[in-house]
Amino acid sequence: MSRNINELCKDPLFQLNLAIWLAQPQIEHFHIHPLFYKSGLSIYSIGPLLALPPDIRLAVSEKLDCQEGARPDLVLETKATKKFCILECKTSSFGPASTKPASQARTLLLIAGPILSEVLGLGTRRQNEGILCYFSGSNQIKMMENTLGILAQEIDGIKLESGEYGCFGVKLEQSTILLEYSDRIKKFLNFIEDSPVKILTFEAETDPRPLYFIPYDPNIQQTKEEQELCRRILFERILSYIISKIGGVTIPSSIIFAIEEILNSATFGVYEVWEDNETKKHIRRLVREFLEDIRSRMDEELREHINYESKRGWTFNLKDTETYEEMLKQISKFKPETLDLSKELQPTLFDDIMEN
Amino acid sequence: MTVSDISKEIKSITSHDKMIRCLDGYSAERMEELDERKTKCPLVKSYMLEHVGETGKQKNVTEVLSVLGIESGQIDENLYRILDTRENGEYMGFLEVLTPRYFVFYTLHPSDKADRWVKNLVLNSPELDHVWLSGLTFNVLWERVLQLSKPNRYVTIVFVHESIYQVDSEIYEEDEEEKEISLSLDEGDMVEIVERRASKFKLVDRISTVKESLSKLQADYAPLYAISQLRFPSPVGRGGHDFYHNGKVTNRSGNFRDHRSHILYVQRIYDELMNMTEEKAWYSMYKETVTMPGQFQKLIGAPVSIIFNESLSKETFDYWIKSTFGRVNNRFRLWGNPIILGPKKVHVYGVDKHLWKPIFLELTDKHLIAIVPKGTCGNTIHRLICNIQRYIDPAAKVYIGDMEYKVMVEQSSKGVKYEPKY
Repeated sequence: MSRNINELCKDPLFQLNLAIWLAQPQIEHFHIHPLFYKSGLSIYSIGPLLALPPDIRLAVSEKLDCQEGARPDLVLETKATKKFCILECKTSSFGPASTKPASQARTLLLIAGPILSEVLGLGTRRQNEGILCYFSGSNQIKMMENTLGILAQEIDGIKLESGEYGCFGVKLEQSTILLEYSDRIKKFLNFIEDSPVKILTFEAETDPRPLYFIPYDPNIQQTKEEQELCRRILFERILSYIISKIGGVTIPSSIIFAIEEILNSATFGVYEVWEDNETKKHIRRLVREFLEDIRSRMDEELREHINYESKRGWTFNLKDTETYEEMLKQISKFKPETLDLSKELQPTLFDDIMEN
Repeated sequence: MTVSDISKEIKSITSHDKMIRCLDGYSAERMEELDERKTKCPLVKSYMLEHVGETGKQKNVTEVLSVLGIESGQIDENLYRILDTRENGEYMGFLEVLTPRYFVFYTLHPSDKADRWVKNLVLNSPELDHVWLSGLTFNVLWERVLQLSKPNRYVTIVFVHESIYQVDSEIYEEDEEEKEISLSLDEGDMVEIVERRASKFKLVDRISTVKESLSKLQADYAPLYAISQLRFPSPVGRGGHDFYHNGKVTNRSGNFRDHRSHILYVQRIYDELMNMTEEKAWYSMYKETVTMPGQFQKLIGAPVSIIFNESLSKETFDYWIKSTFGRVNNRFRLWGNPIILGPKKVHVYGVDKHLWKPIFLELTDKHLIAIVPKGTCGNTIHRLICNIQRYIDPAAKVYIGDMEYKVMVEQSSKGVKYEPKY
């Protein structure tokens, strides 16, 4: 396995899926050591859009570079202590002068403060405590914590309060992935184990990644190699959804696949929460081309049974058992790995027409 | 009794009570014949079946059967007379609907005919499946046999484990598909000579003797964890009820009412187990609405982890993957394109081809991890466990989340309510 595991540790999608696995109920020291779960942390929300309350927006206006709202990758909760951990995954650290990430970090630091209960809609201010944590490669966490310290001071400077903050470092050590964290995080989240904690052990020549809950995110920067693999995982999941829908149908039938439905099923509903921008258009284009690829590799006769209509999506007409069996046979033989997974998709003039 | 006689007998039944009386009398006659070692007619057999469609959206079972050309003549609210119009208008047996999800098919036809008929029924309908009783479940049911029966009674246990992935034998796998339901201990003359671990044997002894030895034997020889058939001794006479791993139950007692009671007992345990499995293992994104700013996505569920007692050799692992995902008709009934992540690790974002539901798997030489999206019947998990115990590792440990599956079965068997749904 030639995959660079050091690079993988810095990959935000790997970090996000790892964080989800750390919160899954599992037995200890078997697959992924469920550090979060054992400490009482569970997933509160994936990719929620959190908005600053109006008075805070007015208070920061022209004083602090903040966003009106932010969408962290993950929010974890500890039910027993009413604490929340806002998690954001990053390839590398950034300084206080980095416009976009610093602005997002200020917003999330504010949200992690006393306003958290209100922002989450759980009650009035100061009912819950929050901590903002960044996941990153372990060599990035020192700079990251410095930056967060400076940004928290900026918030203090305008007489507002930030929440706690810290960083998780993902580190490769021989055949183990370690998770490093500060005493501050350990104390706040009631971790029983001292940093670093062995969270994953893997064998030589083996990629340590777990099964991906979230297979793809067009909003993040990945290496070409990672993007190709994640695109393949996305396609495999789409294919499994299509095969399962066709396989279970009663004959004769017509099945309609809308892009939104396909993407939601392939991402456990996370597609729905992505901001509707160019990247979301990109992923819709990706899926459209993928379905076109599937269709184009079928026998000519079968192709006639698949139609695309911009408002409805793809309709598969399964008029008899013969068509059903042949359709299933040919789709089942389709191998996403044979596609050009690094292909750049350029917007076309017809994108909007295709969608509307 | 000829096939035509059996068909006529079934046709003549007009009420639930008459069916019970008929099968009770018939069972008593067969017991007498068994005593004289001269069985003239087939024994009563029951098949526990499950409707695997999404809960609440399940079709009526009569509709499912009618698509296959099988007519269900209603006898009373929950009982049907089953006529297969494809087989010269032959009556096959009775179908008792316990709940929209579970039903039992009772028949008098000979084993080979009935087994084939039920197997084809399940194969041809993605909405139906057998009730799968894994070795782990049988080990807990054995504990119940110990509690329910006197120590001097005889128990029959059949163990089946075949390491079919230890050799690359395509012929073997295809042939076995045919033999899957009817499990005979007799070997004919035409037996292929292959070298791999294959344990298939029957243990008949007093309960007290088996109780003393079984756990020790299991610790020494792992295939003994792979129980695939267990007899519940009848409390009202000799003989008992033989439960098979695929939900078949043969009445080797003289009492049909007691036979039915045992089926209901095991069915209730299975029902409870299924509810617990699905409640814990189903992965879904739960939308939670809070006052502001809108809907939150909450991931709920738990992975299914199967940990092998012994690591698989590279050859066995490779053959398991090749044989499962390289063949349309494979033992695990799975589809997927393996993503190779190492010499002994693959990920598969695939489909359970029996139920046509997505299932995501991590397969290594040491474990199997499954993510089951909501809506996938818990039955998928039980079938997976059955197959792993039978063909990969009989002593594998299974966890749903951080809870051991064995504990879950124990809890299910203790949780049978005094006033159940059926």
